[in-house]
Amino acid sequence: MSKMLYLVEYILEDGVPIDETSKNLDSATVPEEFNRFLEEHGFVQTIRIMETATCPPSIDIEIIQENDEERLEQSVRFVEDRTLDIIRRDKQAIAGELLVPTETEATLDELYVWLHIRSLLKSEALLSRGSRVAKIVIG
Amino acid sequence: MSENSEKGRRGEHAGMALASTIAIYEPRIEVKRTSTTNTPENGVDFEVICPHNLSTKLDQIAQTGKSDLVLSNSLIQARVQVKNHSGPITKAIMDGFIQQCATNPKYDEHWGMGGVRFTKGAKESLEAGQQRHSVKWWLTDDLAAIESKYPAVPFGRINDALSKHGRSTEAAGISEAEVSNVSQTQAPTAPEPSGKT
Repeated sequence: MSKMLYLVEYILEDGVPIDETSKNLDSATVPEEFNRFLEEHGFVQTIRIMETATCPPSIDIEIIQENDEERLEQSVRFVEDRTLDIIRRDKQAIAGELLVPTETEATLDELYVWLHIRSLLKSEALLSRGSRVAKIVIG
Repeated sequence: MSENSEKGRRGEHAGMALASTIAIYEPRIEVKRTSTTNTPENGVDFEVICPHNLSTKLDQIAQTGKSDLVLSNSLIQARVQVKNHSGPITKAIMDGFIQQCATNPKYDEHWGMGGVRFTKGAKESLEAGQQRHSVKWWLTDDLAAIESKYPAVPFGRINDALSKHGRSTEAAGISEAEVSNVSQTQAPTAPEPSGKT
């Protein structure tokens, strides 16, 4: 799977992020289920950024739509629901003291992926303001 | 499947198809997909086990359209990540790719594919990454040059590809007699990968 979520911090010029100034703070793989959720709910937004401070905005990037806390909260809720499903499934796998190591391994790996996305979506960096701003880039 | 994932899936298969086509022409190359499109894979779309100087040969082809480099007998394992992007590769994407070199230490080389060009920041990030890791990235034009050197072969003619391509028999580890027979019989069996350099 090529698609990743990147938590990226940019310096802005006239409100436009500058690619050259970007700094990756975190990244997580995107399960198809979450990709589909973002697209079906219209949460993916294309914005145009500047290559350098001297260039006009010309580079399109996809980000999780921002300036709408409700949407971000919905995304977090979706991820948390998915996380709880996995925990329930894993609990079933070890119910009755019957441990199924391969199933447990797979679900725990999956759990890690979703918890990582949750952590990225809830990052305090997203609250940053001023000349630097963090965005969740899909790429 | 979402549009984003579908683009990713197509890119991965196109990248694998190119690597597999090269493996028809060149010796000792194995292409291995490590996960399905929708399975998190920590930046490994597929793996290539190949002679250690294959990426140098591909660089030469991308830059000049040809290469006389004889492929080595020593094998390496490369991680490949494909970005099916119609625009430039940005610094954020390149930084992510470089960061994943450290989380994939078992690979000797890290190959990126896709994008029409690098942004200035991405190019600097790639160059900085190359100081720390063995990293290659082929853009769409580079891939076109490589595809032109290694065109897709109809299945019924795969055994002809070797002799028509003029691959070095020394590099292939086969005799001239075997090459002359290859179109009448079958392609030589590549030796089993023997591990890292």
